[in-house]
Amino acid sequence: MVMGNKTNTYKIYCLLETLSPLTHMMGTSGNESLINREPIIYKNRKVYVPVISGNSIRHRMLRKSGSIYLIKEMGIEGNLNIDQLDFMFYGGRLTQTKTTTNISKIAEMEELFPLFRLLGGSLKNQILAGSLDVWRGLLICEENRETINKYLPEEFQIKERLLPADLFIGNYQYTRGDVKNIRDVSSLTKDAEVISEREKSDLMIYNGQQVNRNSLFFHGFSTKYVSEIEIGCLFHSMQLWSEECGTVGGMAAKGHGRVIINYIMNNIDINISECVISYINHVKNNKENMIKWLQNNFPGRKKRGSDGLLL
Amino acid sequence: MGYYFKIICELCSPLCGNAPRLDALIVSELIFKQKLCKAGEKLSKGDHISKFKIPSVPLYSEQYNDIPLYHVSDPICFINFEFREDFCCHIEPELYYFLAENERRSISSVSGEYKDTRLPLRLKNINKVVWFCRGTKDSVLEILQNNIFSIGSMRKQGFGVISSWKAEDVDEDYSFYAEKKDEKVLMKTLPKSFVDKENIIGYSIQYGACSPPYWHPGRFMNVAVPV
Repeated sequence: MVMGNKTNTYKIYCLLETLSPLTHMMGTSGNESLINREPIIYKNRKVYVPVISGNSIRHRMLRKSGSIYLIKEMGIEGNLNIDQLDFMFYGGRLTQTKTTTNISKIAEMEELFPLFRLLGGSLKNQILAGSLDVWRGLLICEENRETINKYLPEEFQIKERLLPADLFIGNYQYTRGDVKNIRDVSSLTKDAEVISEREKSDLMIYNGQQVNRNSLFFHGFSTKYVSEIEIGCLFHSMQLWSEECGTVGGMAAKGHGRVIINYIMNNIDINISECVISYINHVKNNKENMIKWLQNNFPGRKKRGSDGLLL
Repeated sequence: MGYYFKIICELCSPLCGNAPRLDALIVSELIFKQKLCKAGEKLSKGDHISKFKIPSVPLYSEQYNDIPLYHVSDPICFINFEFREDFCCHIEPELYYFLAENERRSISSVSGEYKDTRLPLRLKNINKVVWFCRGTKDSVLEILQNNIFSIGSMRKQGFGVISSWKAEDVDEDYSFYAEKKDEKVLMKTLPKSFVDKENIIGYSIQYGACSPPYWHPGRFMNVAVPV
């Protein structure tokens, strides 16, 4: 019984530093991608400042890295069905019309999967509440200073004046090459159809806004009634994400969105490394039960036999 | 009798959805604190309302047809402006590597079970929310400060984060009505019969609940809602 640990409430404050341009977008205007911003009131004016959504941080930093670890540890790579994948990486979906509350099923999941106790999710017929609130990433700028100070305890208050948000925003521009302009394009392929297709010009310039590198974002987590194993899971997932060159936002393939994370806890009375070790041990000791739980709750599509009946 | 006070909740992130009723927040916390409900157990709309065990709440209440009406006003807030943000979710194709061979099939992302999500969220820029109460100030404040860290919908995604809870004394009881010259302005959703009796203004008659659990049909009746 792992949930017998004493539960507590924690707040974790994080600082994200961008090492490459950050392109966490909200949409497009013509040919230009726009950085995600939220309106705030600053000096009696409505101004728009860049923000990273809590949903994005939650997925990238915790759920994805944590789920990949679980899958590798359980040794079920290449053996998942789509429902299991959907539950682990996206929290699952409520698809059955008849919803039920099966307390023993919830308790079993919370004991086996500290990650999903933190993040919550949905089985086919019931919603499972999580215990982790992920705050939005706020750009550390003058417009946000007052708001950030509201989050922070007294000893970490920002007293100095900061730079305005506009100074942290830049633009990027990329060009998709025009194959027609490459010399001897015909030597690349002998297929006449491909050559004629490639002779059509496909030069495309595309651009957008970005948050420049070396900008800082403030964000954090608040956890309610979690045990040390869940705290271990939280930090372990963040550590994995960071070790695997964690990114936030889009265009990671082009080198965008690389960030590093620093964190502090104000009401810390636990040893984080010990928590992480106990989480790793927990996963190692409960592999079989975890696989069994996934198979029982997400059996996948039923196949039809040669006679057309469900097997 | 209890004291008259107001509870002030300062927010530091946009509020998604509506501000909650304070008695609902306190009751939902106390149900678990006073162990009236097992972990994971839920009251559903199909259950009879008698299954709902009322905890002892540090707010003054009066009974109306066996329903406790807590002396706490509906939330009062000034919305600076509203805006929209999208909540997105879609299955990334690169993760298909983890799927079994026979599961690597094409799935529809525009309809059905694995449909992509782009859910518009209605967000409100609000500095603070205020409730007028009558009860035990310190007990109410303690419950809120130790247990409620965010309000509204989509709290897990960082909306409605609370920076502080404060309580201030007030001279009169504004939890049900506020005096305005010869008339009274309704401050809390109350049964319709409450507004029929007296000279009360500022309400509309709706069909809903006036006591927690607000969502349960067993509590529904004709109510006067402050406008």
